[in-house]
Amino acid sequence: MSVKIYSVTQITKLIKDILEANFYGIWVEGEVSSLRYSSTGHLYFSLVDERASLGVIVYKNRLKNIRFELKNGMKVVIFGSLSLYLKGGEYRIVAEHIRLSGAGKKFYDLEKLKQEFKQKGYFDRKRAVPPYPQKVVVVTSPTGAAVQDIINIIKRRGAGVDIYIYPVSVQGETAKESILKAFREINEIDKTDLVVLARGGGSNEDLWIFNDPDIAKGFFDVKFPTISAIGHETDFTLCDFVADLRAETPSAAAELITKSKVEMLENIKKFKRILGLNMQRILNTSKRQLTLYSKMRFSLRIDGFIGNRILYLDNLEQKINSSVLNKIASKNSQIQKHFNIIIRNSPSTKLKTIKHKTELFQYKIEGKIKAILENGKKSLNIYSYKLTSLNPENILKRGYTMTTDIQGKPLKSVNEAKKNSYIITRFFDGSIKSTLKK
Amino acid sequence: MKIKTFEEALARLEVISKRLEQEDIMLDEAVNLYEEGMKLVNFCSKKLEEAENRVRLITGIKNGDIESEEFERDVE
Repeated sequence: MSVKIYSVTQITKLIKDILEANFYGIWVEGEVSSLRYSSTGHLYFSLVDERASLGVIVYKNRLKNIRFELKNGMKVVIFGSLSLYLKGGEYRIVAEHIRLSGAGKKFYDLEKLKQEFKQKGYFDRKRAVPPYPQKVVVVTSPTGAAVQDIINIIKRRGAGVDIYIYPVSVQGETAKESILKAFREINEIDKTDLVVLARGGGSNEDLWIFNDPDIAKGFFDVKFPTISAIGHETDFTLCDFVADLRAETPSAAAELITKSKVEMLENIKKFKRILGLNMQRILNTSKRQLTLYSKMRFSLRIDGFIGNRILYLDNLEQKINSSVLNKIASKNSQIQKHFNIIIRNSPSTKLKTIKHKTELFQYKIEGKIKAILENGKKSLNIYSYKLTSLNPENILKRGYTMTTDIQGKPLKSVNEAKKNSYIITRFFDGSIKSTLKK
Repeated sequence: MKIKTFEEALARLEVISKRLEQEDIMLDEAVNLYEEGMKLVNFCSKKLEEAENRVRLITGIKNGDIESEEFERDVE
């Protein structure tokens, strides 16, 4: 009869193979005990529960994966693989990650949920949050700090927002159903501008309900724009990711809701001022123009007409000055009537045309007179020259003589001279009287 | 153009203000714009003041309407 005899190494290697092949990438939960660092920098401890113990080693290069300070007595979840050390004949779990128990699994699950939600597009649908909400439903505990913070801020700012508190319980066994019911009922409301999900600060555990996939999905399904306002700045829950807008805290949410409104009131006042100032300026300009035209006094009739219009404008100006801007807008039909008259008759337009025509006319007339005068001057010169050159005296000076009869009438032809009559020959310096013989 | 929403009114006010600031505007246009602008200002102010900082506690939803009562928790 032959019996199989293993060497220590053989059997230990076999056990090692079986162990390592079967317990690879496992999660083990337990309590930390006998924590110690080796001289080489690796971390050793035991994971224990009521009835058993498991050795753990965290290699130096894996220590950075532990995000908190390990202490004896802590409940943790370890992710790693079993490993058998031949020389010592001991097996241990080689830890890759260590997380706080409970939370560890929860965070792991949450990460998976986030992936899933993101893939479904729940994180990417961001609806526009109305900048000036009037009616806001706040889903929160009616006795919590969140509701108090929100009310305080909104009251202080006096921004004109109506807040409707939808009372829910935010912790305990009834919380989930209470919040889900709130979302369902809110979807039956015909109109609200905004839905805020608010919860004051608390521990991770306190806020954990807002990582619940049903609640997050319910919040996502709310048909109105949503703001999440959960815990403190550093707290991010699944609900924060599916909300259209995340406020860091409930107070921040209240600021968000009222901020643009306070600014808007300022803005409206500014518009009112701009309208008034510009209208005033335009009226002043028109009045100045009319006064200017009236000074031209084209006719007394038009002058009086303009005077009336100026009175109207003065009237209107006074009303604006006495800052009844609102009244003007609301009771404007009266003023509008005046204006319509002014505009219909539009003296400024008429006067402009008249002035223009007159100027044109004047220009033309001036031009013509000028031309006539110029012509006249030219003609005069010519005439004067002609007159000068035609003066008989001047001709006589050049050696010509003029012959006249005894009465001084010029003889232009030989036929005009009669026999035995006297003729007078005029030189430039005197004259000779002669008798014609033949 | 019929202004229905606050945002539309604001946009129109912006346009009117710009136009009124220009030098080439005629009196009749200015008066019309001024009147329209003041109406819009009133419309916006009214819209903003419609809600009055009420805090109500929802007691139920019926036929699409919120049923509510005065929120009792006092704010000092």
